[in-house]
Amino acid sequence: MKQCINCSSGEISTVAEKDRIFYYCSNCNHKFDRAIDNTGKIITTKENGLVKHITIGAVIKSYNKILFIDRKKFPFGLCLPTGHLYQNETLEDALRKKVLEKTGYEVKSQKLILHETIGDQCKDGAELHEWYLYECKVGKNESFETYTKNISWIDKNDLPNTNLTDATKIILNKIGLLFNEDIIKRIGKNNTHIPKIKPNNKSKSIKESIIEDLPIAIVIYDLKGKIAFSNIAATKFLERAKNSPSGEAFVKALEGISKRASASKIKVSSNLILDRHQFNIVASPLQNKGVTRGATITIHDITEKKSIEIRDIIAYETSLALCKNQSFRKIIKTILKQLFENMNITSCSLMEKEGDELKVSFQYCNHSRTKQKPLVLKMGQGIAGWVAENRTPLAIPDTKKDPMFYGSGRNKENSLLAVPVISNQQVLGVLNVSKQKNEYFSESEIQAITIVANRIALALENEKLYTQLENEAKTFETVLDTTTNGLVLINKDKTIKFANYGIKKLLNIQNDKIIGQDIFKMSDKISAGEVSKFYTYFEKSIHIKHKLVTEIVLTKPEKTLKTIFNPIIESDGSCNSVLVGTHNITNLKKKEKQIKNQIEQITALFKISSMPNDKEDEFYKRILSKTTELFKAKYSDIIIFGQKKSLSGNIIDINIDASKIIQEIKNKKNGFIINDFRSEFKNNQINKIAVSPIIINKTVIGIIFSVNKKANFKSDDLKLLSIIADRISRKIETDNFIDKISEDKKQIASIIENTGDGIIVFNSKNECIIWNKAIENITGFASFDQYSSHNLEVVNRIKDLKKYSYKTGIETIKKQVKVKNSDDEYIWLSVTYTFLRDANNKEHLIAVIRDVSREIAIDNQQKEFLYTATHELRTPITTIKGYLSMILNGDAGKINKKQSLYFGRVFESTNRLIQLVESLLNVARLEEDKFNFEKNKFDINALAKEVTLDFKKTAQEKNIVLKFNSNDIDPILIIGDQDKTKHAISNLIDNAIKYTKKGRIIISCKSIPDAAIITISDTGVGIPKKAKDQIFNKFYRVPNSESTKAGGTGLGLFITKNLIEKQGGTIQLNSKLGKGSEFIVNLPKNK
Amino acid sequence: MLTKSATKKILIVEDDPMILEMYREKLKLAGYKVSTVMDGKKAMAKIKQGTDLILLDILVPGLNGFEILKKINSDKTSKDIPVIVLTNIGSNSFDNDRKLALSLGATDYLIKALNTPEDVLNKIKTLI
Repeated sequence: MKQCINCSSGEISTVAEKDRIFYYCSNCNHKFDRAIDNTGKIITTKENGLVKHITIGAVIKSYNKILFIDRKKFPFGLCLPTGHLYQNETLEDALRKKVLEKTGYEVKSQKLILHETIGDQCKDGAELHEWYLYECKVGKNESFETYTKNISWIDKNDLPNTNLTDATKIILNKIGLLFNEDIIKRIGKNNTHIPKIKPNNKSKSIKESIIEDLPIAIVIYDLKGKIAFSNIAATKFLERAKNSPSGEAFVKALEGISKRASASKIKVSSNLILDRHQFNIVASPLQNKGVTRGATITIHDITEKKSIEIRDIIAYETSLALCKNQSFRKIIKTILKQLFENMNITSCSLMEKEGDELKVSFQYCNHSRTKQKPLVLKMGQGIAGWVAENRTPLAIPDTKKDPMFYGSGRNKENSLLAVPVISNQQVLGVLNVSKQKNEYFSESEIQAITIVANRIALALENEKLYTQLENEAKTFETVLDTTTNGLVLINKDKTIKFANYGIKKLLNIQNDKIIGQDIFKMSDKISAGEVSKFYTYFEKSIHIKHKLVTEIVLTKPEKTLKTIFNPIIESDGSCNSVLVGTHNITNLKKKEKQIKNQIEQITALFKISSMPNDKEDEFYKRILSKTTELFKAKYSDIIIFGQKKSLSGNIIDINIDASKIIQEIKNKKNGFIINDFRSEFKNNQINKIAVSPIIINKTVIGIIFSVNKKANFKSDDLKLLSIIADRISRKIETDNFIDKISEDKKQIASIIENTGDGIIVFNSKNECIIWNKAIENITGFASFDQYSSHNLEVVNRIKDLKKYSYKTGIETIKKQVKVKNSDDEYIWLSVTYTFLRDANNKEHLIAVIRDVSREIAIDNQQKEFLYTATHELRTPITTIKGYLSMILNGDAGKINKKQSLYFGRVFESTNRLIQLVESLLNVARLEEDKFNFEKNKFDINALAKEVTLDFKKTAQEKNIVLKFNSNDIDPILIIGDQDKTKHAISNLIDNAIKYTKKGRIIISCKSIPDAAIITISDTGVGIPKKAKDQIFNKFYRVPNSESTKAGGTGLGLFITKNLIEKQGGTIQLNSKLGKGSEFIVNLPKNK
Repeated sequence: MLTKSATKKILIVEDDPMILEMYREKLKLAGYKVSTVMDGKKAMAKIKQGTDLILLDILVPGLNGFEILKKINSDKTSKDIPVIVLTNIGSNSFDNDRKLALSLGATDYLIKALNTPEDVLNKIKTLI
């Protein structure tokens, strides 16, 4: 039994009409067609504006397919086409029930398996949804498929696992509905309290759930007459009853009946009326273990019983009319006739709506008809008009007394019922039925007539559709006839059922009457072989009931027909005829040949294009042979301008006319074809020629041409030739490029080879890839391998350097290394390592090497010299000074005054000599830049004080005040070379004492944020302005000054300045001639 | 004073005979027992015979002063003997020779040309 998709109850009836079947619901009159019925529908029921129920249909296509249910979004249940889950009903039970209902197949409990709950995988935003996935498992021998062929499952694979919204969309799309997010959201929100239904909960028996779902209302009363249980249908019914005026009495009557039954302990039956409906109430006492607990009441609506009978008759007659291929008008007439004959009525008529008016189109009555013009009413006018406008049936017991009744001469029509004929919410007309005066229409009669009216509505609607279809069919036939494609419908016995103009023309059949004939007996355009081929396919297609395609060739003239055999399968599965479609593909065949040729050409071209750039001779030889082959020409050749030979080796002998051609090609840069070369240029050797320029950088550098093709050259050939020319230009360009690159490479290689510096390049694997001539000269080794076998540590050194560069990011490292040359002598190399990182982040290393052995040797000699000079100059002076001092000291016996004076002068001069030698040595050291400045932290304040104290004795001897003044008692810490700083300050104090005759020398030291300042000020001779700038110069001495007397070397300030500046400090001089000088030393703290 | 210093032995390691003679004379006059060696290789043997102070030149044949310093310092018997490096190489401010010698255990570093025998004697007196 099918259920209405609208109200989920009631009985579905069908109306068949030609190729269409319509369904309608006997309960709510909802009409729907096959499409809806088969695919299911989503239905929402609203209560207080909120969506209460949602039912989604969709489903079983074939064995082992799957139904998805999202419990979160459809908490009320979502299952097979009609129906929903009742409270506490398990999903399996519901599914099983629905499968049974839809297919008649009883799914045994172990066969309907909860396949998996895939909820955890379904994340949609933050929400987790429960998805149930069911699978019906059916054994191989069970014919589940036949039961389920009209139902479609949604395949699991069609649904995305991850996105719930999308999955829902797909489900809804599958069943033909647009996805409405609002609805789904609202359901989700308002029903969060709905208890979760566990799929495996089997607490509720199937029996109970069946009772729940029965369309019959069942109520169980206890002994006191109170309702203990009511199933869904009963609850619905009772609720409806409450809203009815007589509902209260009805409910009380039910209670009474139940009490009677439970008291008497026997079955009680009674009929009750509610809202124009008659109900049969059956009350049975409910007993449990011999004790009466109450009564069960079933309520049957028996109102429709009679009308159902009428309806069956009408349905039968309608079907009959249909079988007779009658028009819809006739069907309507039949319906009315049946109505008139089967019901106790005096007349019935159908008024059809045309524009604003209602006109009588059919009428049956048992009284003689007065010859009046047919009744015409306007909308709203009269009873029919009112009914049409208000879309409500209207019953009038006595028409004469009713002011709405219009017209005279209808006196016998006393009791009238008018029912609107409505289809698709359009009023199509009014059905009028009348009885004798004061005979009331019963509820069931009204119901029945309403149903008849609906039938009529359908018939009217279908008529329209039919007309439309017929028009379409006519159009279709016209199309069939006008098409050049042949169409012929051939019966199983090879006689023609239908043939269009196209097939007649193709087969050259003049005779019009070909129906029932054998088509090929009438045509001379087909050979016996082809006929037998035709029928082989024909019979095979009937046998396998499947479309077949072949080609049939006609003669005189030759035509190829693509022939399609399309067996017509009847509804019972048999096949009695084949629709043969033919299509002239002769031109297509020709095209195919052309295409085949083209493909061959393109293949040849492709081969040319993809030729490797191998040796020139080989390349041109092959390209020319391919070109010749391609055009089926006599020969082809390439001429590059400025060469005396063509590329195939022919001596070029172009006559004047040909030169002209070449000039033209050069100007136009386009190829050409001459198919009558001989007469045009009086050339006996060439008849037909195709020429294409070879262009590089927009300049024509040569031509390729093909000569003496069998057929004429065509423009397509020229295109092909130009492609070949392109290929040649590419080759030439590539060659030029390679030449250029290899030239560049050669140049670079020769530079590397001939440069004076040794160059070694290591790749990322530390393999030596360049070892140039210079490095060979330097090391004496011809290769890195030879070298590394002598200098074993070199490979590791390279690796270390790479690691170091990788770690620090330093790209260039300069080093001096000592290595062994091929004569096993040590040589010094200055190496500049440069690290290159390639695209793969691999380190390459380039080493540029200079032999610095000579430089190092010279350097060492200089060092040696300084060393020796120091020693050799000092040694004799030492002896002189030492012995002199001993003589003066009296170690060699007493000396007289004169001797003492003289030896004293020698001693003094010796000291000056020593000073000079020391200064010169220091200058030499400074200029060689050989000594290192250390970086130690020391207290400059303490140092300056110490140096001052060292000179105290000297100052006292000259009667000069020497004072150390410091603002800071605390140490002033600077970072620098303590010894050299001491030397510098000593020099300055020494100078100050030297050039001060009387007065004072003050040494002060102070700290400023970044530096220490040491000031040495004296009241000495001062320095003239002119000398100020030169005072720090080497060997400079203030002219005409005391300096000569003071015994200066002219090197002290030079050395001092250098010592200070090399530590990042500065020295300044303030001086006034005759008043004194002030040296200000600024040394950075370097913190 | 004489008697006191006479008990002290000083070894001079010096290859220049004139300079050697000069210092020996000076120290003898001051009352020290002076022994001399002109070859670096023989210096260690002399040192092992016992001495209270060593005047050590750097540029001596056989074994140079630095090497001798190392040996002195690595030998338990000689480790504590004060060593005045007395040489003409290096400089107070400009060379590392002085620092090297001090780091190798020299007590002082005097440049011969800048110091009279008297200066050296005064230095010795502060040490022994």
